[in-house]
Amino acid sequence: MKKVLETRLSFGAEGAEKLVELYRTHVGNYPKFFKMDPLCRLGFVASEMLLNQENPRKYDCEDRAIVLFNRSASLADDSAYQKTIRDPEDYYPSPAVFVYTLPNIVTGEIAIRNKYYGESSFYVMEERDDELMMRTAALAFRDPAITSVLAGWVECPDPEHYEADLFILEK
Amino acid sequence: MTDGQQKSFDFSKVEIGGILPQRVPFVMVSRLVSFSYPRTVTEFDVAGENAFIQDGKLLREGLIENVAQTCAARIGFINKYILHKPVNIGYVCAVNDFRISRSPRIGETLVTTIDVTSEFGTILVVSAEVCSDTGIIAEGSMTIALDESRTVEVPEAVVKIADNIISPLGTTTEANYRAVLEGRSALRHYPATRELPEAFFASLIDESSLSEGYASFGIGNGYTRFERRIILSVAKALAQTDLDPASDRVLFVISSTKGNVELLEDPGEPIENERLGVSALKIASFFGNKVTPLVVSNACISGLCAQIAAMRELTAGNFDAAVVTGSDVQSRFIISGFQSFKALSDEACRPFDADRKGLNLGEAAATMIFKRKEPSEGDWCLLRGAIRNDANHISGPSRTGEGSFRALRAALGDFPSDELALVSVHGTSTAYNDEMESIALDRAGLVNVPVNSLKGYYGHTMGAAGILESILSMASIDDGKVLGTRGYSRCGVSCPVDMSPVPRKTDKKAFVKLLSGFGGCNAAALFRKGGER
Repeated sequence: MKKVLETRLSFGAEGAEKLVELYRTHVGNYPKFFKMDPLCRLGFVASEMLLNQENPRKYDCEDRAIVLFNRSASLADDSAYQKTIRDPEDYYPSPAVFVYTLPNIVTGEIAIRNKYYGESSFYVMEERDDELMMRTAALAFRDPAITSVLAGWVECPDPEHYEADLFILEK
Repeated sequence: MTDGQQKSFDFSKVEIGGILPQRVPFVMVSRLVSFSYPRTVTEFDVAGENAFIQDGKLLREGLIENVAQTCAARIGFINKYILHKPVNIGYVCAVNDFRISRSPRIGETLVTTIDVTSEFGTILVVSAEVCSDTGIIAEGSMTIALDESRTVEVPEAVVKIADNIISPLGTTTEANYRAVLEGRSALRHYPATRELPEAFFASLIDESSLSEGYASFGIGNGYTRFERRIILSVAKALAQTDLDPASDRVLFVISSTKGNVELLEDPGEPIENERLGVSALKIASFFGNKVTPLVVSNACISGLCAQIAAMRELTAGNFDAAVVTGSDVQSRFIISGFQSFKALSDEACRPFDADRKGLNLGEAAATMIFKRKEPSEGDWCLLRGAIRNDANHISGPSRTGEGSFRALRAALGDFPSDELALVSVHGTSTAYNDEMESIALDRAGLVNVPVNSLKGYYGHTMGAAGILESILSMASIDDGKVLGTRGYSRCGVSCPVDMSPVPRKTDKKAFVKLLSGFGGCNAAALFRKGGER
């Protein structure tokens, strides 16, 4: 098993704007990006920058898994949704916000973009532990159909702070 | 494994059958006492049922085999715990200067020490000493050749050794199974309130009904209701075993979609209390377990993903046992969200039925404890599991049932569908989910296998669903039955499946559990009683 490609992104402030900039520079032409919540935007842009390095870029396959990790799950979007229901006098629960209140949606966005039919999994850990992340991502290879894993850390506790560290593992 | 890790390793937890290729009565080592690269020590309780016993004494062949198996235990330990490889077969090439002072008797315990004199490639040369209470019994040297081309398939499987369900229908698996068999449901109408201005139908736990259970296991007030329910469920499952949950060979795998999300209602609540990782650490440490727990948050398929992750960790040899537990607590957050989706039914749900109107939410905590061991006839084994994505839409199921079909195909492999007692589907009762599943079942060639959904009894219990529904499928097959689908009367999907509102008989011993969820994820797992294949 080896790590073949890596991408790191980390924004301590004004991350939302910087992600849009990166989207325009490195991706573009995917309007769905603007519907995404902060965690999905982060995972989407980081995965695009990672996969742009792949030659040829893998597309439409069942042998690649997506296994991502973070600490705060979908907290950034959970807080946004909570605002829509906080006040019973001003109650407007939004399905467009609610749908992103699951951390694994980001794995779905990456699968849709790349037509990856393989495994998609999301794990939460309180302290980032790279060794544990590698061990857990490598579990996907126990599925004989899987030959590579897009794995790594995608953390977004609020709409300004972002940290992504994605890589490709090959069997 | 470093020298320090070898010294602190708890060798009493190593099951000798898992590192030796030999089987009873040819097993001539009872325990691994210690291991380091230069020296390995084992113990052997000489017993009447062993091979190589004559007139109450162990023959010379038995002593040589004891030394050879101590070498095998060394190699097996390295393979399993350090290299995470299967166990290899070894051959004794030479025995030199093997001197025996007396033959040990039945009832004696022998302590055998091997020191590696040289090791080149796959050839191992050791000097050995076999002692008893009376001193040295035998000594000599031995050369072993390892056949790396032949790995031994240690006949182990991932076996369920205990389980529990906490739900409005009961706090044991047995009580839950009886209730479902009798067709009881905890789904009921909850009227509109100021906080939730729309009425809903759900299956919710009355927290006060659990207070006795909390008290009897010493579950104090320092936990949220999400954490307490899981702790109670795990404690009740553990009570059926002799497993030490504090062992570093035991992994906790926790499944939840939203954990403590209800805490967001209180702006004064510290945000870390909302994080799943914090809950998981609290749960594991209640049981004295210090291993970082795995927390699966993969939408509605989490309960099956948690079992699959546990199975993989166990077959990789990373752990000997896994406590797989899951729960979700229904709150304003989740109920209002599903209402905003127009996904909820205003009556008890009707899976796969022509008049289905949507899903009901439910609460439960469910636990399964898995152990890697040689299965006995009555043991339930998790044989295979697969997770696949639709790569289609984040909230709408695929029209072709793509991910569910692919997950089913991978989980089934070449397993004959006529050996399946049932497929326990997700069957949430939404128009799209049930239709999608019927297409996936059809594509996977499973339309003739009995199918059921348990959502009419419990609603959708989210993080618990995959565990709860697997446990009840096992309990029903143990009882020779396929549970009925409460709420189903007339087929309302385009690929008709074999579904019944009432229980049916079965003599088959295997089933498939299927789930799908937001994010386009799908999971399928194959379980079998007895565990061959």
